[in-house]
Amino acid sequence: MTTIADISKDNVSKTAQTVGDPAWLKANRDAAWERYSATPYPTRKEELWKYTDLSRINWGKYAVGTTENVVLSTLEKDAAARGAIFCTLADALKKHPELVQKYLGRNTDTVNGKYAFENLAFTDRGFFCFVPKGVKITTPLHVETQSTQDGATLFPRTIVVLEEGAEATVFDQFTSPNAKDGVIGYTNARVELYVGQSARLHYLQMQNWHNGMLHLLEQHAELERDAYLSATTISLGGHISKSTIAAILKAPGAVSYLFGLGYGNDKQQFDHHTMQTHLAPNTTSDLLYKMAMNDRARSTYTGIITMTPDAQKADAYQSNKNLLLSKTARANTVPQLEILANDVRCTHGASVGTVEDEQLYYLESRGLSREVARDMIVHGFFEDLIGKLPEETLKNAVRKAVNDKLGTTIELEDIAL
Amino acid sequence: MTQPLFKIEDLKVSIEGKQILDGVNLTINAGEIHALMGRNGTGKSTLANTLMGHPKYEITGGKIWLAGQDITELEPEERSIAGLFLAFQYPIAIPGVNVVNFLRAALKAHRGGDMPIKDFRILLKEQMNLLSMQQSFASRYVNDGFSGGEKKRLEILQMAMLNPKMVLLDETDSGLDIDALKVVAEGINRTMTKDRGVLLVTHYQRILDFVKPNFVHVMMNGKIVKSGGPELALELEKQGYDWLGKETKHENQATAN
Repeated sequence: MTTIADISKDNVSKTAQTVGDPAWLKANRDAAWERYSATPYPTRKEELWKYTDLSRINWGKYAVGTTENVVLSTLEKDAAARGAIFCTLADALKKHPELVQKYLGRNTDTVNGKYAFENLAFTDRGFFCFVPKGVKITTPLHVETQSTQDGATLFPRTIVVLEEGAEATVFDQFTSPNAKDGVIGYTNARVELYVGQSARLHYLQMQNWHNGMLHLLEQHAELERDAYLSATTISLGGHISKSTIAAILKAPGAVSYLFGLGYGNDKQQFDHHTMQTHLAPNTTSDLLYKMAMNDRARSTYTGIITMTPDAQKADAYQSNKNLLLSKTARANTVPQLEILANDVRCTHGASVGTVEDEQLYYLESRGLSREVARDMIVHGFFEDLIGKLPEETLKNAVRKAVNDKLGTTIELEDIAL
Repeated sequence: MTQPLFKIEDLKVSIEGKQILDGVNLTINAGEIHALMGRNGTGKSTLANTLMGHPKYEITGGKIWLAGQDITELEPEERSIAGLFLAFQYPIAIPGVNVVNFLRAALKAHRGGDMPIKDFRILLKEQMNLLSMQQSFASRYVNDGFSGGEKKRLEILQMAMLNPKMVLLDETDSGLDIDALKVVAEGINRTMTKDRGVLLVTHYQRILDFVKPNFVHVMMNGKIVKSGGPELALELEKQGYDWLGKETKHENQATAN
């Protein structure tokens, strides 16, 4: 059995064979492998790794070459007839190699160093979503990447491309249905979102892995002129979960919304790093990350807004709100601004709070137990964020996942009177 | 002999070591409405919140009985399920939790299980109509951005839905204009039954024009200093509380002598 600790170039070739790489992709992998080999693991001395320490991870516990399910919903017939593509990465490489080549690896930005090269060299699953010019897909596209095996290793790659004027909603879920207690796993994922001129993408990503997962993810979105992106990250599972989420506003009129929700208990550690990068004038970005931590769980949020000299008349907002549910839970929040343009608007804020005793008392006086009362307040804390999702089905999927994790049975679906 | 619905026996309460209630005695039978009057700061709200089980108030002596059960040591949720309800003077906002889901959870706790959605919907609609509440009210977050009148109406809606045995109304009339006051009072009267007891805490006579009490009590310095019929409230309206202060002072002196 080969593990991450003794992985070699042979494994690159094996992965390429399993996925069915065209020659160009194999060459990309080899190049990534060279960089991977030459790059040391990041240490806590680096700003972005200050709060998440992976130096004591035993990489020998994670076997490479894991096969697990990736389940995709079906594309609307009409959209498919008009050239939309929604399939696994391996299928896309077989059927649409030129198109995939155009986008896969187009964005090579990374702040994850060695981990990013690892994903590029060993990409073994993922999906490709392509919506051609003017095509609007109304039903949310759902992908479920599963992992339940002990010692599993996953290197998913998500690529979503919306051409000019296209519209789609994508629900990208990482989950462990019926995983046994005590299993461990390692996921190193990369997501690339390309939102074309005047296109509109709603991208919801939710990880509710089993609690033995080490989850690393790096996401880059590029927005063209007048493009609209709403990207939501839901972090619930794993023992360590570190996500880097970037929105790059490349052309005037682009608008991006980044939303994040995390609920941690036990000794879970969450680390979210966001980047709102304004490269053009009249661009707008908004961000809201809400984290609730219980027990000994810990959340770190670091976020940077960058305004380049070209980004005149740009607007950016950033807000991180934390709710601590126990005396031993922790939340770090580090907002950062880098403003190189002189005519911009930029605001950021952060807060760390606890559940108010008066709120608990009010709910308890109506017959709710302390636990249910607290869970209800947690749900309420998240609700404004969940309300920003575009579809009722997605809102309910997130509510249910949060509910499952809290372990209470509060009904939250809207009842029309 | 039938036992009283609600009985407060020599209740003494302090907050952070400071004594606020100094031996309160009160008995309320089923079917009775009692008004508890007094100036601000005399201990009325402390009494209401102590009865509901607010953790901030420490009971240093006495007992509280509800339908024969000693509830002195119970948690607020246990008191609620036992049939006690407090309409708050300042209802707290619970952002992100809408009225429907909140009421469903509360009813579930009281019934020990879910109510079929259809029945719940019918009940809620009916009660909201009776309180002249628009349906959109149900999907708003609990007390979040509510006007004073909306908050008080929501308290009455909760009371109507939970159907408690014993109701404590803490300054439910404060901050209401006359129309809102009428709606709220109507809600109290409509849901009143021969099995329910009501303790209405107020420092104005105004609400008593709409909700007719059987008994009126006056609180001063953490004690009930005078009890009487509805005419006592009218007397207070005319003369204020000062004469009572003198009267009780004299009484106290008399006792001391």
